[in-house]
Amino acid sequence: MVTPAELTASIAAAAGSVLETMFFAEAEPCPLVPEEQRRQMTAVRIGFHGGLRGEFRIGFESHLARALAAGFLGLDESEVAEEEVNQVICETANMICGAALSRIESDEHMRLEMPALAENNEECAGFLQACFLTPEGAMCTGVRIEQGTE
Amino acid sequence: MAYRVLLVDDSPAMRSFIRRVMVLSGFDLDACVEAGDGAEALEHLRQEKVDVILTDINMPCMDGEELLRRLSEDSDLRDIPAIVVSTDSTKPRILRMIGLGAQGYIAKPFSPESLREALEKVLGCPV
Repeated sequence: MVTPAELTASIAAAAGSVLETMFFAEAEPCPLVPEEQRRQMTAVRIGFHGGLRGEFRIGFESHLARALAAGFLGLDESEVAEEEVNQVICETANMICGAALSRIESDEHMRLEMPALAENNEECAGFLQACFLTPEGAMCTGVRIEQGTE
Repeated sequence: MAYRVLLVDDSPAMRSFIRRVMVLSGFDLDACVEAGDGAEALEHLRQEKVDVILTDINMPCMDGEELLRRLSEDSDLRDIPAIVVSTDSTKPRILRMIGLGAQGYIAKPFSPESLREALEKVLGCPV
């Protein structure tokens, strides 16, 4: 059974690796942002199944989301369409979630659902939360593990 | 020698990123054909030849696993080398994709060097 500390460490390592390798950006763990700030973020949710079953959520401050999209696509921030921003943050969420779970469950079968934009006013009760600060803004993750395997 | 690549990923952003990384890393790209899932990839492959396939796994309609299965059953297509590019780096998944005929496996996130190395390995020469 994975512990909250192991889960948090794995997500932090995955987030750092994804931002550094794919975006040449750095993210440092930081204290949880205020609820009001979190609700302003653009959020993505991904369900996952296998040895662990649950849901992963990630929110990006708008400037960070646009900066990531511009860097990923090799465009100027002013050239990036809203749809492209959404595609990039969905892909970023997918990579962080997949990398984090692969670290924890390297010998287990894993299946990720398609990432989807989420309402960020949803309840976070039961989610293990973490926040990261980049020069372009904050990013918050949440993960909820459901009991039992499939 | 310039190579023709088929990129299969449901994310247009990821396809754009991989295409850009190939060019920036000096890969000699003749043409890059793109598909949003396995079914679209098979349609392209029936119409034009490519030297290598880079495919995601988790896609709508036809996923990367089914695409590899279909390729292995098709005598015209089974010799095209395929490299999987996926967020799933669990051992069971890697073994299953290799068993289905994948000649390389790149876990996301990946560096430009690892993409280039995988391409060089399956194409059998510096690219």
